[in-house]
Amino acid sequence: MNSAPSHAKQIFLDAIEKYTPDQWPGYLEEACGEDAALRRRVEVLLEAHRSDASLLDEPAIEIEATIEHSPLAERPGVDIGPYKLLEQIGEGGFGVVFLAEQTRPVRREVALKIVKAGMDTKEVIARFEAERQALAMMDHPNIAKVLDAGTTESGRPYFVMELVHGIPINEYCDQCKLTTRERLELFVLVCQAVQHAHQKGVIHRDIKPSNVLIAMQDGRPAPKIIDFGVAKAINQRLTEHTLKTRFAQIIGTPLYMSPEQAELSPLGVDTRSDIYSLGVLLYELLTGTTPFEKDRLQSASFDELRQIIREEEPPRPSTRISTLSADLASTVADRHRTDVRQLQQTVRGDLDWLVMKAMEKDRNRRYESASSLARDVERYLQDEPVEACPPSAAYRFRKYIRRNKVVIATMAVVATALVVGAGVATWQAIRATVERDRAIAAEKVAGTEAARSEQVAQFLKDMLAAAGPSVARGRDATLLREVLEGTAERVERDLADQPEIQGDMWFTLGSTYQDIGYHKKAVETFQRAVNCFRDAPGEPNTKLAVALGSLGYSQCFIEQAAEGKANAQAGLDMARLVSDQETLALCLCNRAGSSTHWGMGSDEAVPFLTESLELYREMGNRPLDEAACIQRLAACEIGDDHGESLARQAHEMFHEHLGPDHHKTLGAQWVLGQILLVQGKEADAEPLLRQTLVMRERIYDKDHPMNQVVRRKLAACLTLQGNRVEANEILRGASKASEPLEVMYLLYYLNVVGFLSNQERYDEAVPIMEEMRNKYDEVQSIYGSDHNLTKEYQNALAKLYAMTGQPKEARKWYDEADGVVDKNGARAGQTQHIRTEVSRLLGIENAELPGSVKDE
Amino acid sequence: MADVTQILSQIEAGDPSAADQLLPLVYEELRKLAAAKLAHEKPGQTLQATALVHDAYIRLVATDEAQHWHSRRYFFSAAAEAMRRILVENARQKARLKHGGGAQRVELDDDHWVTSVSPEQLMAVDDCLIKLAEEDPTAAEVVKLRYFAGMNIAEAADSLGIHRATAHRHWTYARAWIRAELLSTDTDIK
Repeated sequence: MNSAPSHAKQIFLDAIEKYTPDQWPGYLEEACGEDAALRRRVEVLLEAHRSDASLLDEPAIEIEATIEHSPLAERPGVDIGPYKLLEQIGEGGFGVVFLAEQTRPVRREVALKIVKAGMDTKEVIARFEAERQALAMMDHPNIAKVLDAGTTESGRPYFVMELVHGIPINEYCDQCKLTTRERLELFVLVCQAVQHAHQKGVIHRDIKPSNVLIAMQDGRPAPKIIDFGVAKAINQRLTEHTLKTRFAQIIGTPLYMSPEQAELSPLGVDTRSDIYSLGVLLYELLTGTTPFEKDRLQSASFDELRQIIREEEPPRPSTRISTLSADLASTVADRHRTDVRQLQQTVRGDLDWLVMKAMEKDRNRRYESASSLARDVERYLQDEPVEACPPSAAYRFRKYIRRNKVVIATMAVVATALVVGAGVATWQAIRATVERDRAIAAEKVAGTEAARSEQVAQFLKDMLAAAGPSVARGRDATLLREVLEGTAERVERDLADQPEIQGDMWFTLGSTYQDIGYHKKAVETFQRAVNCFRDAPGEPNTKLAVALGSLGYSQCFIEQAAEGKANAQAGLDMARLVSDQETLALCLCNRAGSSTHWGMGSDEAVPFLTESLELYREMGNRPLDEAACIQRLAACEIGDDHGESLARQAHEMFHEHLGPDHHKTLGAQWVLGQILLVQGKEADAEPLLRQTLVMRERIYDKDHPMNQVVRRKLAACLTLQGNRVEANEILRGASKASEPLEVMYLLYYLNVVGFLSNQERYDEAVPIMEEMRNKYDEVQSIYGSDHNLTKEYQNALAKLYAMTGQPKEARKWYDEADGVVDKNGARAGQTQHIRTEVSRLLGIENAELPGSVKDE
Repeated sequence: MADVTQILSQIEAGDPSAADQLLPLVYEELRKLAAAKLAHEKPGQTLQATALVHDAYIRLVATDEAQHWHSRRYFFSAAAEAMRRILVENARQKARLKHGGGAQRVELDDDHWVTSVSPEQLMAVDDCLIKLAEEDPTAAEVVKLRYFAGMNIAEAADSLGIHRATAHRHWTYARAWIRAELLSTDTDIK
């Protein structure tokens, strides 16, 4: 009975706690008495206790020491300075929050946050003191004041804050099922509060939903940002140590941490780090999830975590929604009081870019301030175009290259190797024919060769298209061109004796140039393709037809309109001989394109387009080709409502299939904008043109020639609405690389004159006319008097004078402009057109002039 | 699948059968977590049991609903038991491999576990622990929390709802008890 284990335990523990080892024998004698077994048992235990075995001292799988985290001595009822702890109201990443009562100098309830162990209290308090003054300057209804800081008796730092009865913003939004719009409205308030703090020189450093509470103020939800200044004081930096010991509860979540904060090097954190966190917060409000999955960050190793935050591009919010499980997605949508499709549609586009801009890895590319972020959200809410837009192709491509240097280098090599490979393979096949039975082999070779060259050309095309995420949509100027040029060199050198394969390659390269809007290069390259196909023996084939058409189309962009038209017509004639719908439809499109300028149409193009559209409809399931035809048809009928409705139709089709920021969608939007402008609906056109410009300058190079055109049209649009100031800004903002500012202005005047006269707004033409008159000498000195542009300018002046009732002056300029229009020169069509118009205005009979391009 | 928070609240409400449902869930989660962590960790780096257990707690329990003391306690007790099973199974497997038995490697992940003792020692400790549990369940529980779940005395005390000094006494006794047991069976302990 006495040797019961519990008895042995008691004696054993007493021996250790109450007696020194040398007293043990005496104590055991007394405690165990006659029970030898009991005594033996206790002796064994004591011996084991004293043995220097380390067994059990360390946890089975724990080798590193953990930070001691004893429970807080601070409990409700305890006084800390002038504060009495009432109850624990929260437990955060780095501490415990109590509801406390301040007793002096005033009696009020406050929130008191006690930082858990693991911090150097002195440092924390010193850092807080350093910022105390700045904190005191903050006075904003949406910021909870930090009132005080100090050290508890147990040596832990604490912060005293204005008490906020609220819940985290994301929970509030979900609980109350706020719509996306309502969420954005709340978010704007948050941004404005952060802006206030930033203006006072205070950075939050730890913006996350649990620090942005929503409390009711006067019956309305109002955000309250808590913990300003606290994060800095406790210097919450992500280190390997803090990550590993995060259950020592030093660090909160890395989900909202900006890349520069995730850096180990003490890269300065500035206000833009808060912008990043605001971006993540908005992301979460929109999608119900964070950009990176919580689980993933939690299970990531330290280096991996930093890499994710610094380098990994999170999915856009709308993409994120589409990748949620069906259940989760519908829950999220339900919390926005909408359905998944609708939610996705709302978020896609502007809101996507807005969030992504706030969350840019490179802080220079984020919104420069919280208020500019707020303003952009407001712009979105008011249906104005937002500042944010997809990052430019060049930028994304540069980033892509940085990450994939090897891939890119390989790509160029592969491209050339392929080209060579195609030649070699064919050459070997031909050698084989010499050695074996010619007749059989020749046929075989013809078959394989065609198949192979098509394969290679297709592969090359795919590869060029897939060169980078940007190339698929955006097009990069430099690198893609380098790859193209490198490939071209090899094509020329290595495939010289294989005209048909070479032709395929030229055509593929040309199409890529055409696609990215480099028509000069495209013309050069298509010309080579045409030469190859033409030299190749055999029937006039589909390849030659298509190559001619493509050549003709691109020629129209580089002021070779007449030649272009001839080539496109030749291609079309050829296509009509071969019974291939695809080829014919393509050639019709090219032919139509060759009758247009900068994508704007003419009556001449209409029948071609109509026929092509019919063909595509017959073929079925070709929505993108159909949309392209419709868009071009719209461009042919810019003057009336039919054109407008066609343009809207094309825009919707592209939007539906490709999304809002695809360059084809943008193209349709651009056409629509121009149509509205021509119809005198400047106010409707303006936002479209603005958006087109912003998007284009992001997606294409800034000095892409087309961007200049868009700028001029936008400037004209603003001018027509009386906003000369901004019009001038837009013009001056143009890249000077592709054409001098004088030319920019000249063409802009011509645009304005065109619009004003269309709408018979002669009074407004007077000031424009004076300006033009003043700049005439400049124009002449640049181009000389025989240039089409000079003539067009002179005719425009004549037109203005005629319109404003000064026939004499008009006649003077009309005569000045006399002479042959260079039909292959710049703006031949426009020059001729305005000439004819002026003739009509001045009542000059028989306005037909030498060199007319009208009937070409 | 039953939700851990829900089970905890059933336990809170006095449903004794609920506790049985807890262990498999916690066990699974710990294995998953450990596998995920091991996959990301460089070889030779170690896991912290306590971090793992806290992770599991955060992932499985809606913490705002389950701030209550008692429910937490059940969770950590289940987690300690789960950790014990994982480590012992792992040790068994390693021992088998070492001695040429069972040539198949079933769970590759488990090979990465780095323990502070040899598999044999770990199994021996576990055998002792089972014996101790028959005699003194509370002391055995402290060992489990401390040795397998990596908790310190204060945390173990909190988990068990006992005073820290009491927990310390249990620990001192249990440690001596197990060492004595191992000494008597002549197991090599360093």
